[in-house]
Amino acid sequence: MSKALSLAKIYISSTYGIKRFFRNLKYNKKDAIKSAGLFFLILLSLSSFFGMMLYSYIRMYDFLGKIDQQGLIVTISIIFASFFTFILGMITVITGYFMNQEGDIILSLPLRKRDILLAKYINSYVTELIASAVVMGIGLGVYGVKSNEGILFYLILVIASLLVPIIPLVLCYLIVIPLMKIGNLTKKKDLLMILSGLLVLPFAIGYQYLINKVLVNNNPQYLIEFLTKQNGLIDVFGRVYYLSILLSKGILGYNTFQGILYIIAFLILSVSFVYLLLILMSKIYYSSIIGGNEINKKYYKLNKSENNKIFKSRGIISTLLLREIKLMNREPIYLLNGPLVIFLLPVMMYFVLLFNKESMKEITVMLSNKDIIKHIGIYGGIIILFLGISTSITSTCISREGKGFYFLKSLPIKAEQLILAKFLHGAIFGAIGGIMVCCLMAYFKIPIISIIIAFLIGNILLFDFYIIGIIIDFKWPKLNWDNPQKAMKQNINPVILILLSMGVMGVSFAVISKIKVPSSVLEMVYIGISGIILIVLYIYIKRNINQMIDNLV
Amino acid sequence: MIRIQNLSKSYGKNKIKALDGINLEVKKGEIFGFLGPNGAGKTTTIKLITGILKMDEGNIFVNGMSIKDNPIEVKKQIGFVPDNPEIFNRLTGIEYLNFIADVYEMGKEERKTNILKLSKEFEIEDVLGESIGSYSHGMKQKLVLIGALMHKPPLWILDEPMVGLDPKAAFTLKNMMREHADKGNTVFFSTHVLEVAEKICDRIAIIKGGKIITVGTVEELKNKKHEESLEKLFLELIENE
Ligand SMILES: Nc1ncnc2c1ncn2[C@@H]1O[C@H](COP(=O)(O)OP(=O)(O)O)[C@@H](O)[C@H]1O
Ligand SMILES: [Mg+2]
Repeated sequence: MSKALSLAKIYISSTYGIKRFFRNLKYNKKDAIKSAGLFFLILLSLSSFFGMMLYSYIRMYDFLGKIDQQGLIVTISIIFASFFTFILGMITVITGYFMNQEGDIILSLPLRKRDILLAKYINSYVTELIASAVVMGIGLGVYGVKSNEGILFYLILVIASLLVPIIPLVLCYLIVIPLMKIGNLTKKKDLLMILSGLLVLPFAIGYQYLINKVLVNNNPQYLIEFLTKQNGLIDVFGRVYYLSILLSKGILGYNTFQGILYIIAFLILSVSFVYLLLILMSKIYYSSIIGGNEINKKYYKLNKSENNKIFKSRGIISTLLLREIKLMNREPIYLLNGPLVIFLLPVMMYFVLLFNKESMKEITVMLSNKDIIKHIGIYGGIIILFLGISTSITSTCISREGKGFYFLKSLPIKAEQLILAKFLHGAIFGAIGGIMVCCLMAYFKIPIISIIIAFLIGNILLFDFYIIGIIIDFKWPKLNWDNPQKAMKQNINPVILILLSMGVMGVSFAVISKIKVPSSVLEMVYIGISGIILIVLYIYIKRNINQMIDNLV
Repeated sequence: MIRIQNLSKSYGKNKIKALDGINLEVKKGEIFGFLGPNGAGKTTTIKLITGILKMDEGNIFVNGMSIKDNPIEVKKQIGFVPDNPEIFNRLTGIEYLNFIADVYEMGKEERKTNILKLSKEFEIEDVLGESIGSYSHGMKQKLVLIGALMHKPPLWILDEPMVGLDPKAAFTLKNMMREHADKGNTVFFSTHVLEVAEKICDRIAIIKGGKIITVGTVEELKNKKHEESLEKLFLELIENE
């Protein structure tokens, strides 16, 4: 146990970089500021979501208070928090495999298998705790303040936040470990990583759906029905995950003996789940991480008959472009967080429409709104922009090279050629995203001329953003990494780009609603401005590219 | 073939000079060994010759062309093997070699012949279809070597090339270096394996703390100091400084 704890400490400090942050604060201010900046940017982008949640809880409390059902707030908070920590847990656990922190060193230490799994579990639990504290805190906080609960309630709130993620996280490990074990046996680790990443998707969509249903709903009558009727949310969830009801009974009756008993029961059950996980999975976990770096050897002799295909010569731009695409799409972590986003959009749309017949209606209603349909070209363009940006292709294009970038610099490749290839890589996937959005627009019977305009606006905007992405990743690259995770997910540059495109979105909404000009004029303005910016950026990058490459040490 | 003039380089803000005004001339047809203890500035020098780093002061000429003015032309003359072969892990060996061949504008027949020949000599032809990430350190080293040599550059620049190679591959490489130099080409390599330098180098330079301590043939250096082995000489030179 104590060994597990000290191992967990190592994991935690290497995952969250807290120690490194404080060290940087002392010796390397620039890096410390960068990590703090990233943290706040992420917080900023989430704050609107939390704000909305807070607002909805307050309203919901008022609705439910009228019929003396405000206790449902507690149950809903627990349901949301359990659900949320489960989704996050899946991502964390899978990511844990990617990070491959075990390395050979830790595996070579005389640690028990059980300690390794427990340490890993604790490491993931820390992330979960933050999520749980936020989700529980908002919901129960509203309940506590509005019902004038005493200090003891908030103590219970803290305890409940600690308890909520334990069991969902155990479930995540129970699901993922066997999958990874199969991945290890079949040596198809990458494929299984991608598959298990996709596994999270339906849950995430379901979660989004619930949030929309419960928090954004305006009809109290309908809401209460949705929550409490037979086969309503609480009924269904209570059946799938009955223990959550146990905890909510405990919290609501926290000042009674019975309530305390419920909480203690939940605690005991949670701990037994962890114990069960350790008993069942320690061995399998160990064998799923050992040899995790082995790749299927598919002895591929260069045989003479295939020579024509194998030794193919290409032009410099196409060979550079091909390299970019292969390096990105073959790294699961890049693929999942990058280009795959484009292909998930239609899948997600499909599920949303499948599960929620009403949203179909809503979309149709929205599209019959004259003010929206009038500017649909611009709206469509901005959706394309958003989708293209979320691939993070150009905003991580230098960071992804990692230490290999130095070698690349030694090759006789012109800076312009390298950058052009990186730009084209983004542009190709941007165009694919654009086509997806256009198909969707066509499905909703939007006039072809608007679709073409949307495609144009979206892609010209994307060109601007792709160049900006390249420039900022040159300015602040993350080249010194030992794990591709760091180039992508601990990189501030894609976040900057996404915030920037949100800015464009905000400005556009303001412009469209405030300034009444014919849509064709506005569309020309959009194309004109983004075109001019494109030219300026082009001139800038052409002038500075050699300098930018030289400045990378 | 290489002329280094008054070359200086310091890293970062602390301005400790990694290279402090070095001058060096490497001639055509010779194998030139660049010796020095860890942190002496060997890799830094090589990164400057190959255009990976930018120099603070001085200049480097390869075949009469300055790396400052003609970076692309200079790089085309060079086959470079870095000290750490961590590159493009998600490509397969053959994809990597094709990429390099495209960069150096090699024709189809030429690349086919050279890749097949070199991969046989270094005994990695069986794994060329696999992802580089699955290679051992030595296999990666061999792959990068093949990539650097297959386009027949007149100048080879190898940073610690023997590290990680198995004895047979090291032997093959040494023979190739000799052959290459005998054809009037140039090999510039860094090493701390003294006996390698002693056996195959036409001339060597010893660098320490960013300064060249001495340059000459092995014989010349030995005569100067009356030492019978290079190792003693090396130790003495870097000690009594
Ligand atoms: N990227 C870097 N940042 C800061 N200092 C460096 C960097 N690379 C090398 N140095 C320093 O420059 C000096 C020379 O290093 P290097 O050329 O790698 O030596 P060698 O290859 O001879 O072992 C060393 O003092 C080293 O610490
Ligand atoms: Mg070195």
